[in-house]
Amino acid sequence: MLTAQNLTKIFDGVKALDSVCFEIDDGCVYGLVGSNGSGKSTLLRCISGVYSPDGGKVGIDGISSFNNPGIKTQIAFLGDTPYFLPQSSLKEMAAFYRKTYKNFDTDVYNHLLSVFPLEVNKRLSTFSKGMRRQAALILMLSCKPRYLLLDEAFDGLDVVMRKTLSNIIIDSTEKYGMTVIIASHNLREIEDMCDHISLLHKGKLIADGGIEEVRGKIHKVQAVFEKMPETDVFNELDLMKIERQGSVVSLVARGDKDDIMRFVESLSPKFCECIDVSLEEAFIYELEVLGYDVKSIEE
Amino acid sequence: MTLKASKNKLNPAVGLLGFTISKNIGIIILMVIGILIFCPGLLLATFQNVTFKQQNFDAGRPEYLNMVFGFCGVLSAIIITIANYINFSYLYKKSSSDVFHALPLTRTKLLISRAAASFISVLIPLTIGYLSLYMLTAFYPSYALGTFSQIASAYLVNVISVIMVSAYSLIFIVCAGSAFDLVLSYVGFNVAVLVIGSIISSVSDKYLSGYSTENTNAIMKTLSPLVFCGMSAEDFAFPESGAGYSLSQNGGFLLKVSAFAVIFLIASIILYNYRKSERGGQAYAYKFIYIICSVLAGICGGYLLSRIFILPGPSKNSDLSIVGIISFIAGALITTVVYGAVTDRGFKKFRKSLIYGAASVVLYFAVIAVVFSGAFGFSSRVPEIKNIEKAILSFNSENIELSSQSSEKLTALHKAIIDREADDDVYDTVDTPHTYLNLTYELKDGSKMSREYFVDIKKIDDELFALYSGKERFAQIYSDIDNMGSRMVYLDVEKYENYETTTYAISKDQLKALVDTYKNELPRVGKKVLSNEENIVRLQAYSHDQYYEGAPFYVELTDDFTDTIALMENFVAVESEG
Repeated sequence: MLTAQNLTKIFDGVKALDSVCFEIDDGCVYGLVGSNGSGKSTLLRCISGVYSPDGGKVGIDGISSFNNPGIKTQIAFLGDTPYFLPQSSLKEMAAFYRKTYKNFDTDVYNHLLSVFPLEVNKRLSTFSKGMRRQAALILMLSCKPRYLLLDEAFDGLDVVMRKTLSNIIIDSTEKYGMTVIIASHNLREIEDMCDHISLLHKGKLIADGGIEEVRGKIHKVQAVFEKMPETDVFNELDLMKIERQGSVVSLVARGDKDDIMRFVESLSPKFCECIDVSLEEAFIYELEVLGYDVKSIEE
Repeated sequence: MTLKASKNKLNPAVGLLGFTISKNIGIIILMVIGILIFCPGLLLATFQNVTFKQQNFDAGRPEYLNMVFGFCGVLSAIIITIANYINFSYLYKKSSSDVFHALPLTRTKLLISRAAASFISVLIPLTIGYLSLYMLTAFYPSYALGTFSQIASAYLVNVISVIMVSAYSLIFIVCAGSAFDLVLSYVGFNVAVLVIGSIISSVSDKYLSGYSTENTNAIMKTLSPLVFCGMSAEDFAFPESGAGYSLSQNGGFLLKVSAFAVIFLIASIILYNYRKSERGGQAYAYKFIYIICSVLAGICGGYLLSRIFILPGPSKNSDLSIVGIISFIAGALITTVVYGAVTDRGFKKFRKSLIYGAASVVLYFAVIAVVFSGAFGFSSRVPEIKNIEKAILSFNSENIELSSQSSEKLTALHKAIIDREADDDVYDTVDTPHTYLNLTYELKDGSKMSREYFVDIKKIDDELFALYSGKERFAQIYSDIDNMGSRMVYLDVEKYENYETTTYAISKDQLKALVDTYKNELPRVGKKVLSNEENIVRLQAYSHDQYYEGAPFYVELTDDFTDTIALMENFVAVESEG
């Protein structure tokens, strides 16, 4: 199990990660979403042992990964910009990784090469951005790590390759019990493949749980009133947002759907309905509560 | 094209090392070709000259071995530094730093693996170059540059020096945050250290009694490991004893160089283990290197600016005059602010730069204060006789060597100079006769102690004359005459009244007779010979093969040396020119 306890990372006095806590079970696909500069990449770098935490700890089965080859050999990390050793080809990189990761599987490598048809003897520096990412993914997946960390995994890939990669990742978790952590600022991209998702904002983990669990916590209600109640009345709910337009009230609140509906109906609306929110909407509302919305940015 | 399935042979460090070397193979081949073109290629081409072949080269050709040694030493030091820069450039970019630091390797292994790749890339051409010399000695003795042991010693010194230079560069590499700042700090630090060495030397020369140019070398060696390595290697190749490339006689420095290499390597490993990866892309991973470079730059800048205002000659401004102090402070502050602006890419840390500038000023004047106070006893130190192995007085172009037993004469002179404050500033010389004296003590612990004075002769003439007329001086002259290569020697006599030089060809016995006469007359003429004020003629004896190595008998005479001058008139002149 991958755990973080009060994980803190500070850059020049600014907390890039602020007391982050989580537990990730083996064999799941974990989505890490957040605004730009929210700390997603920093979190991945801490998990992979690239960064040493300034506070708290992160590690596998309670053991820190920083400067620990035994733990790091179980982790493969692909950053947002793929990097290869200078003047190397895919074949040479594969040979290098085979000597570096104990689980490097030549069969998997050969299989992935058939899926992502790349020239193995050509210098990787001559590859396009998408091809470089494909090459990096082939190498990382071939290492069959216990934890695969992908930062902006789909960046630069075309639609077909995105779908293919998505299938391969799901397949790998099922076949090898691999845990995949994908960081992205594009929630829609990873929504379908993740079992579990977390939202980071300004270094803090503000939402965390299964997809349905996260989505099910937030509800949007629209109600029409003959006599509009005072706004303060709705404060009894865990209100995230409320808008009034004539006799229509739109509100977003956290909590149990039935409890929220019961409360609204108790105010005798002429009409009332609960609308399902998408995961993306749920996260946007969460961020709005924290002041990160289009309006506040424009101001 | 697919990979064949096989069991993974796990060794990430070795894998990385092998991979890097395989990628450096082009540079390695180029270096091998370069070294082989020079050695033995160019040297063999030189040896086609018949006169080279005809000579007896049982002891090798040290002058050519020196060329190879120097060429390989400098080339390998430059290449390994560049190779390290390239192999560790991953530190300065986030994407590459991520990949390297995510590898299942400890930081220590990662550093050693990369450094070893640089080292092996230099070691291969270096070894091939020296092997070619070895093969020349083995198979073509007439082309040999040195004996087997000389070549092996030169190779060993080269290899250990390369390791030290590499380990030294690693400290800067690990401390830097970007390639630009690495170059800035490495070049800046090492140049600044040399400039500061010169500054200390210049200040000491001005204000520290007894300071000699030999001490400058010691300062440079102390301040810069690179200078230490280079100068020690030079001493190893050209020792005063004459036996070059002898590890048993001149190899003591190798232990120090090895110790430096180990210390630098350990320091770089520790620094790397605590280095924050996120500092890649910023100016420095460790702030201390920036502060040190900034302060050093401040001292250099302050000193250079103050030189403009402290002009030599009629100007009365000195380092401690108001003009000297203000110009130094201004120079130091300007330099640290500019250095900070270059490093921070703007005037973001203006106040801190001013603080570093202030630190430069404090340090500089602290050095001056130390120099003024006698540099912790430097100017008053006279070694105890029991600790002296050999002592040498350089006076009037002569070296008078004294054994341990007779070194008392020199320490007496030394004490007289200090007690009677006979040392004067060369710029303040008044009408009284002055001369330069250089005192060198070789101590029993293997160290050397050198002092140089510009003395008022009248204050120490008794002690100086005791040495000048002493048996040790003449014993050495006779010994040098005996060691002259031929039986016939030349004697140049220059008359100051018309600057006419007459060359006599005389036998060694005639020369000895001349020295005997001079020796007998010396006590009668007395101490006035020390001042050279009344000299009318200069004598210089040499054998043909020793002309450029100094004359065993070199004196100036007053007209009181009547017998000596009369004796010379009997010699046969071979040449005369005015």
